[in-house]
Amino acid sequence: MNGLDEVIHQSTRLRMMTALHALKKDEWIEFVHLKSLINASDGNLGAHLDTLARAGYVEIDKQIVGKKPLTRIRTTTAGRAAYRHHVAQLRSLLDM
Amino acid sequence: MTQQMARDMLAEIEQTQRRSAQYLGYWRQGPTVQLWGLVWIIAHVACYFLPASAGQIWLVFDAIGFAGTALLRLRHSADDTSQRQTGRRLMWAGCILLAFGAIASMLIGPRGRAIEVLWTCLFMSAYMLHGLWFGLRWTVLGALVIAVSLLAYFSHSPWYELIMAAAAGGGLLLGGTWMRHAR
Repeated sequence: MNGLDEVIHQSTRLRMMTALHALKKDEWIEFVHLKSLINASDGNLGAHLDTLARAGYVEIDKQIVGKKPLTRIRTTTAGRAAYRHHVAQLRSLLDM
Repeated sequence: MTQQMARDMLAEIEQTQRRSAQYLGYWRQGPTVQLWGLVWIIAHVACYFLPASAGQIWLVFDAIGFAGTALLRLRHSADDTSQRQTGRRLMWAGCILLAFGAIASMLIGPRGRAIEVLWTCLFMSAYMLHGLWFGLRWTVLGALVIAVSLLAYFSHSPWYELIMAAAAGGGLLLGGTWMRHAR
């Protein structure tokens, strides 16, 4: 598909990777914060996170803090590289 | 994939980048605003009870505020060159404002409260300007604190310090909480 990354290409996952890429390298973001950055529902975000994690683009850390579950997410080095490549490919399509 | 689809996706990326920058800014800088709220509350209350020592009180509490701000900024120091450049520009903008405040304070002369309100308005104007680029909440918070400070100053109330502690300090504390919980 024109060198585009099929995992990142889906609209919600593209927004997720964009939001995660705005963080510093190795910085975690809480699930609730990521959800509000991309305006997604819990179920939708969870399903797309699993897809990104299976592709090795994000890491998911689940903990219990004060009896409450806390889910944090961050991009992997491979995820950041794949995202940058995907965006570069999209830009190159405009130059054709 | 057509060029139009690529253009639409890039527009979506840009929109998400803008929203992320705005909300990450609120979440990261909200604690700093809360810290200054606490500093203002304690310093104004201390000035109410020890008016003769107002100068020293502000010196100590401003030092605490700046040290705390520096520590909080270290937690979120940028690892991207363009962000670092923006950070440096913001630091220089802060230095220019500080120099302007110092000159204006000298020109006003020994009028404690006027100088205090001047510094409040100066910092809150910086918040308002910041809001023009990084989110409306900064502008709203800055405008509210300036309005409260001017009202307190011109009312010539003997409760001036307590009004400032509750309204301006409390406003910053609540404003910081509002930013931290922005969704």
